[in-house]
Amino acid sequence: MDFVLETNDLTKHYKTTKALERLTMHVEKGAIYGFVGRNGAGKTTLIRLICGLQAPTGGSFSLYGCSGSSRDIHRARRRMGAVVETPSIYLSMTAEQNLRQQYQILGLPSYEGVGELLELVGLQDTGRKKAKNFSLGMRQRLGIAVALAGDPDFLILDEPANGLDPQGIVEIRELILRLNRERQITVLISSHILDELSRLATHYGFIDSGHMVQEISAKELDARCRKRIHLTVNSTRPLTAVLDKMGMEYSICSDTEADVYGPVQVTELTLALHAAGCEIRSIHEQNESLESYFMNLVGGGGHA
Amino acid sequence: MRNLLRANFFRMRRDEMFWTCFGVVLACSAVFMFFWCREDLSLGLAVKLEEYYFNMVMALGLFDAVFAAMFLNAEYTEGTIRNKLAAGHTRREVYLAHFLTVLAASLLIMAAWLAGGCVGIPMIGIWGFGLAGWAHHVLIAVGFTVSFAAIFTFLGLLLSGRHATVAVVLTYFALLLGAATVNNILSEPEFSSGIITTMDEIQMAGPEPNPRYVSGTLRTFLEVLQDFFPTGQAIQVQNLSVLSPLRALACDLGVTAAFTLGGLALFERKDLR
Repeated sequence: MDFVLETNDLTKHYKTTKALERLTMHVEKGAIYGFVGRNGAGKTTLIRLICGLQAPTGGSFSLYGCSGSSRDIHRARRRMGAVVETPSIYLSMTAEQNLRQQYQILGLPSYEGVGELLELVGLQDTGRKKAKNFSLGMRQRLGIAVALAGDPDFLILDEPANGLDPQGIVEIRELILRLNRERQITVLISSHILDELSRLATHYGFIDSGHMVQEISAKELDARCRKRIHLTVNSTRPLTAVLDKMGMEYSICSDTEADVYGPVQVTELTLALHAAGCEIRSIHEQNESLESYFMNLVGGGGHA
Repeated sequence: MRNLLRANFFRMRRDEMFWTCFGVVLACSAVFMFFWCREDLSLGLAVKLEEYYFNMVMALGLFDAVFAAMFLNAEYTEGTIRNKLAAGHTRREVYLAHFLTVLAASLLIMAAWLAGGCVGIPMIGIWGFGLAGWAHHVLIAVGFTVSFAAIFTFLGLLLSGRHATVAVVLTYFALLLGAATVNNILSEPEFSSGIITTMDEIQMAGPEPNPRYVSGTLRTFLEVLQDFFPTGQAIQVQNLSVLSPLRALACDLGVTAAFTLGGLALFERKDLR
């Protein structure tokens, strides 16, 4: 599999706190990777390490296969754009000047593409207005435009929806989807707005207290969060026979447990199982959202 | 690093603080020189240009400090230093590019002072010690400007947050205070002769050794120390009393190397946000 970013036991300790503890993650090429965790879980710390703002205490990471400790990592970073915490823009400059500034930092030969970028993020009509007079959403979009200068194929966005109004959130979401679909940009988004993330992400990484709790694809997660009935029976052999006969979708969890998907007529199923000599020990309806899935995973007791 | 320098100069050209410092220095230098010369001409005094020309040299460090503090602090408060690192530039390149930008701005502010002072030329003529004397003093000013740039870049990039700006400006005043103290000690005359006033007459006392006069190794140490302070060199240029130009330039080289190398090493390890 082709990974844009891989971390292996990545660790970052500050004087008194352990921000990241042996974190291992894999961001697949072309994915929109939702990096989910509570405030202080270590999301921003990881992004800072990847961007070279801080050095790891232990472990390693690689960007496009280039090790974070090698000299070539600076070259690999040129293929990446990032918005870390707040948009990194000069408030005393206009949107166009900010982009020109970034073009110079990157050493691009001309300002060709500045207009297109402004159009892409919907800031083409800001003219001589300075960034300090922009709304939060406009600043966020300008930050993304700056990160997109140089045509990166990996974009890191740290809490891009923070402080945005509903319309701003929709605009940013559409922009990210467009970048992923039209430009094949791999995106890593850290967020704790799970509902918003669930509309975007193709893969998830759940982080808690600096540890990676689980990495999962959106498809797998959808399957796990599907509405289902969880059955505990004396034996799944008669159960499968009955479910096959009734044409129902199911998955076997163990010798005595199974999940049954789709609309289930409980009385009909119970009678059929009784007739087949299958004893039902417990029956639960399950319907998880991303939010409850995350809370179950990290054990609740905080805010995602 | 060329890209970073181009980007920094692009920003400097649009920086209000830079143009404010440049404008204030140019205006003050020209206006003060004009009024000093006019007053002396009206009194019929035969003054030389250098007596006033270097009066503003002491203030240059303050403008350098204010510009450097504001320019460098914006990289942290607006988070733009992240763009440079995330774009693949090394910390060494980022540090050196900022040092060179602060130095260029400081030299331009110095050029504003030099240009403004020329207002006196049509009124009282050129420098009494000629262009060579002028170049000699300006060279020392360039030297301590380089030292200022190294010190202010060191502080501006290693301290972050609101207190950084204050710390840079306070450092200038600390350097000024230190240099003024050393200069006061060194300015003590070797012998003191005074006037004794009695009930009936005024008598001149013979020269007596001044107990506050510092001599020997301690004097040499203080002279070197004064050269180590960029503000100490500024005082010497203002007083037209540069003790040892070569030593002053060697001190500038030492201060610049120490702060730049130290700054590079510390900046390499600094956790940025």
